[in-house]
Amino acid sequence: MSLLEVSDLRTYFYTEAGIVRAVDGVDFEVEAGESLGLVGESGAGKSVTVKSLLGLIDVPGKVVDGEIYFDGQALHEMSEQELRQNVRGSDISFVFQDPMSALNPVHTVGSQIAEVVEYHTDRTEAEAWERAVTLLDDVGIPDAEQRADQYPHEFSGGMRQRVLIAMALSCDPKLIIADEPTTALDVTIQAQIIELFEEIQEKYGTAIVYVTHDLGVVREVCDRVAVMYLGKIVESAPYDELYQDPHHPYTQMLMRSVVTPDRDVSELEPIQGTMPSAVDPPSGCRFRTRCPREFDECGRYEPPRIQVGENHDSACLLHDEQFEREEPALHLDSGAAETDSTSGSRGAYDE
Amino acid sequence: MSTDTSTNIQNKEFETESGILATIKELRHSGTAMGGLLIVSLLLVMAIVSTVDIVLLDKAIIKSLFADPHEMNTLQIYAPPSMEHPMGTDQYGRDVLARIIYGSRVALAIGIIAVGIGFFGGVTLGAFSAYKGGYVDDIIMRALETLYSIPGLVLAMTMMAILGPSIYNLFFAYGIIGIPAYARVIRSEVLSIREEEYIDAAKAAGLSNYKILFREIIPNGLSAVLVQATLSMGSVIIGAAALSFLGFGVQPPTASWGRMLNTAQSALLIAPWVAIFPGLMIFITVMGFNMLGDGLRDAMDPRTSLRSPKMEALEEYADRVADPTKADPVGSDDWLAGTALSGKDARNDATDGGERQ
Repeated sequence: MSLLEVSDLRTYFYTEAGIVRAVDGVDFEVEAGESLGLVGESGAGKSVTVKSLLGLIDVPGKVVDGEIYFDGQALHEMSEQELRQNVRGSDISFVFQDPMSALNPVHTVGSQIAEVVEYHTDRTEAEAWERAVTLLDDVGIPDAEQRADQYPHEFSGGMRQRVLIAMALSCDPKLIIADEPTTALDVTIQAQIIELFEEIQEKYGTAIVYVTHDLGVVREVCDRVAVMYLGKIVESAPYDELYQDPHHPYTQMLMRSVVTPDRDVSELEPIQGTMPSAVDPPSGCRFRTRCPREFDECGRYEPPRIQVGENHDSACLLHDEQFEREEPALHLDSGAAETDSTSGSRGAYDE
Repeated sequence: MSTDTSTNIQNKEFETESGILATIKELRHSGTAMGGLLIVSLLLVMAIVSTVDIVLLDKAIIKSLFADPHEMNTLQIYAPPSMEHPMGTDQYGRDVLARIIYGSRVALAIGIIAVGIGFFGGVTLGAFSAYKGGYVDDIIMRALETLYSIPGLVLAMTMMAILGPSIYNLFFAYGIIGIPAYARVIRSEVLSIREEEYIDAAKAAGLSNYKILFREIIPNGLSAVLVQATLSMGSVIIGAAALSFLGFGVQPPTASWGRMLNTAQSALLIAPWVAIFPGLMIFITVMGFNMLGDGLRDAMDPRTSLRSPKMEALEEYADRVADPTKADPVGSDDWLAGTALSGKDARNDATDGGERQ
């Protein structure tokens, strides 16, 4: 059994403009000690997905459906109280995107870490402080003893991210969720933070979920990658396989748009258009509005995630043998190809 | 780069503190705020000395300096200011100066206790209301606004009439009246602070709502309420004086500026000093608190700086003359501080990198 199993997770935001289907049927698994990269454009629903795991969605958002099993416990059935006491910060911890604003300016960094330790373990205040200093030392902060007594504004961006990582490690979590942990940092510091994550994983065997839009970061740290597009996972594979043999048209285009040292910038192919609104997503396959290989059936059926290799699946009708024929037959299997009834017909005629 | 420069940069960083301490330090640069601070400190000293005097020493200090503020002397009724009585005497022949000094006790006690009640009540209610939101917020805030809509003096008089005139009821009445103002200020602070990422981080770390509210949110919003408290101190003192003047509040023979004004009315023409000096004291006190409050407000507002640009340039020049290493363009380029291009940050990250190896 995997450490984390998420199936059919749906998180909707009920706004005045309509229901925003930010996460709309996401399934994934994380093994113990594994690192999974959750990649996608801005607005694909990556952050909402990971926040949903811990019940951190605020009104008007709501996790409307889905099952989340973590280490045998059903997180989706837990009350706020149980989540707070047994999961958040202790079993699963979070590293936020912007180290400049994720630390409270009025408390010293040591006391912020010690607070979490004190709250989740039965250490005394002094022991919690000890632990905070040890952790700061572990994440590579020099003179940890003195630095623990300083305020966040006395730290640089990279140092603050280290503090946040120390805080995330404070209660020996089984899983760390890092929400764009390097996005707000400059490139040299990014490299150091990534290295730190790798060290942590080696030393503590913690599973890590990275949320990022940076495929370069993913290459450095992730064993496996799940690509998200408009609230759904479109392709999931081990990193090397995804890099060499992407199956989903979106992933293929994504790979072609990445800058690598051996590629001339003029060869880059940006993906045309922008992601449609999650209030009224396209019927059928959500990527079809920007997909160069769109065909009739795409608007009619929501593509299931089809196994295309070992540990590799992709949600595109092209992988389904019956569509490889020129004239696709009429389909009987409506179960595998659910139509999005609410926006289905309208979306199809809009085109 | 020499080690000297790096310690220099470090020291410079320590100066850019946030929060209440930094605000108070910033006050040095404002003349009016320092004037206000001086007045308030003098009053505080007067009040503390007279309290110690009356409680522990049985008026020994005031007697040795001036006269017993409660002692009547029928031979000296309405004596004009003289060497013996620098501010004259009142209708019972009591020394006005001694009574004014003792009156500071009452004025400050009302200011501090009433503002304290309003402060804690308002902060707790307002913060709780903002953090809970929804119906709770609506009910609490509408109730407080109803209270806010009634003029303070009228409300205080009504309460004093119900509770009976005494100094403790005066504290209580003005405390209750102050609550809505603090609640509104802290509420708006909490509403913006709870959207900060460190609050999300605290939630993700599994801290309880109670801890998040009292440890993470309120300390960040306190400085704004503190300004409100200093500014309202003046109006509370005036209000209390008004109540005493009207006969509610402080009862004789306790010396209070408002009551002194009240009794001075009857002899305003023949003995104006009995009214002028307490009136002057009220004026100075309120002014002192307002000057301090204004200074605090400006010091906290990031858009205004209490330092004049000329002074800043001079200070910088003096720094540079005193310490030539500051001539280093990276160290003195303040305008770059905080941006991604800041040499300061790059330098720190570089050392950060060095330590990693």
